[in-house]
Amino acid sequence: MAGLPPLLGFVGKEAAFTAFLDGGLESRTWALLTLLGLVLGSVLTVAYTARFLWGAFGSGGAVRRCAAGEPKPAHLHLPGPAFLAAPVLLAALCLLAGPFSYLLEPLVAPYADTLPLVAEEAEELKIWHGLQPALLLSLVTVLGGLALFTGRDAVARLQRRIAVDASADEGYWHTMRGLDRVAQTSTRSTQRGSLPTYLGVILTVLVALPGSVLVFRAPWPDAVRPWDTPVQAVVGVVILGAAALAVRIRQRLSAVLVVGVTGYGVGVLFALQGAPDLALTQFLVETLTLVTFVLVLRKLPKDISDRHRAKERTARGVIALAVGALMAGVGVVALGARTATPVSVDFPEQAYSFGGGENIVNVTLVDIRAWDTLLEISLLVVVATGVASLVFIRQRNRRGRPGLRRRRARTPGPPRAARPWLAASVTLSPQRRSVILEVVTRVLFHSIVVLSVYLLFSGHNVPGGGFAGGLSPGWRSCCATWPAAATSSARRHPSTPASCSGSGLLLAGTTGIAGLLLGVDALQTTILERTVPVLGDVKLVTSLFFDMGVYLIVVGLVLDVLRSLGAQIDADDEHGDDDPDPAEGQALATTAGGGR
Amino acid sequence: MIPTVVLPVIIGGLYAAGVYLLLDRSLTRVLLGFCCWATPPTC
Repeated sequence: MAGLPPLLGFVGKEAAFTAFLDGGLESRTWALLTLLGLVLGSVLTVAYTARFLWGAFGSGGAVRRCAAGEPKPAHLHLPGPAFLAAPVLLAALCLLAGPFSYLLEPLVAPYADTLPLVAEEAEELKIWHGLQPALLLSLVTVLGGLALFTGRDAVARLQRRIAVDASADEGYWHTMRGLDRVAQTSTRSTQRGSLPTYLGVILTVLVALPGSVLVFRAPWPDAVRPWDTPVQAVVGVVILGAAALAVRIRQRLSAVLVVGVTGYGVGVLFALQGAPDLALTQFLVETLTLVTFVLVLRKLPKDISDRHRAKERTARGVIALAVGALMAGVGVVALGARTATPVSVDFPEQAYSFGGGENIVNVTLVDIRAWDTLLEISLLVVVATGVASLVFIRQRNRRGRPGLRRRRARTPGPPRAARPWLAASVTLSPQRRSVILEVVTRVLFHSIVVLSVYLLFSGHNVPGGGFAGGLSPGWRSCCATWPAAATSSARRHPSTPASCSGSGLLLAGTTGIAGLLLGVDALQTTILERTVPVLGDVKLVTSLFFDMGVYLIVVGLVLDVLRSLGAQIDADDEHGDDDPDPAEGQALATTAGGGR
Repeated sequence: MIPTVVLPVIIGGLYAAGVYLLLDRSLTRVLLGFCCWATPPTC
């Protein structure tokens, strides 16, 4: 530790002194300051090493007292050979490695070579370099340390004089207690058990951190233009007006309808931007969302109560405007960031030659990224099955044990009557029915199924496809906008949602095997062209069957929605076993209560 | 590519409305806010 010759510590200390004397750092001033700190530290090291040696072996030291035969405490004993082996070995190595330190150079040189060379290469490791400044610094170090040791009484008095009433232990515990207090305070202020508070904190951080990066670091475009077409602005006004109404309206159904307007408006924007397939999907999804909302909300009170104080409304408004401004800025930067030619330019030709279709969206979904689609529809089936099971398990429990149900089913009963033309006539009371809508649904049912099938088969070349076909709008929206029609349609459909979705998944997965049998990769499209009598040249792409699987899955999902939220709820109502309708807002009241 | 003004304004308006509704205590309005949030033409 003291760096005395001929030990290894002396070699290391000399090398460090020489390095900083010759440069060591790019700044000469910092190199000299570092060297000064090194010398002062070494002086202190020599001083306390001398103190250790004096305490152990000097006059009055423990070793001397033991050697003099003084009685030692009963719990003390001399260390054994194994305990002494470690310090003896280390001391011997230090003693030997000093004179032979040049042997260590191959061990340390590779690491030294990784550092930038600021000055000329230092001298090699050895114990004697002759008379040079580093040796003088070593002499100063040893003499300074011995001087401090000699005047240790004066040093101790000085230490007592300048000592402060603090210790490292107390400092550590004060720091830990402070951290605990900060953690408790921050937890109390942020973990309030209130969903709006949590969202508010998250959104505030979103505005503060990415927002500041957006303002100060983002590459803002040099120029902007008002619109692509004036129609875009008109649609934008409609969308923003509907969004503003959605914020203001307190009637549940009206709010759903105006939010639906925003979705349809975005679908129009997609169509204006030249994405008819995306627009069609947006319309269909928006319709299904609207239908689902209506089916659920008809069981809830008409109005939404306002339980917010004025201060909370103001805070919500500020956060909402800040997030809106942030996302608008992100939109500007993102739109202006495109400098390269988009990859979609080459898509039409590739889609036709590779996937055999002119609809690049459909070819992408059922061919180029068919594995992704297969996993997505698998997930869709699992989620739909799970949700439907959660809805119907209540009904199953009410009917008793399955075994009892089976016995009752085997009991011969009266012959079943023929299914009526309007199925709702035997399930709903006349007060809840709309005969006109039921008749319209019944009449249009087959036509819209034909449209749905057309969208499926034509989707490879024109807007449509399995997803759009499965969501085909008309009859399902009609069904769902009136409970009786929902009951009618749900009862009329020939298959259960689970079998429909399962068949679709089986068909989509089997398509992958078919590809392997035809000598291409799994799920890769194979184009089959044949000349058929009467029909002439017929072209068939195998991805059509994959699309049919998607179609069946989406049909099953929609049927699940209708039966779970529509027909089943009405059946519960008709049997008078629906629960009293609690205020829907109470769903959040439990969590929101913590925020007050 | 020179960006338009209309699309970012629509995006900002829908996000602002969506966030305002999301911060409500009514579950219906939270769901409507989520729909507004998911609607912008960025997704």
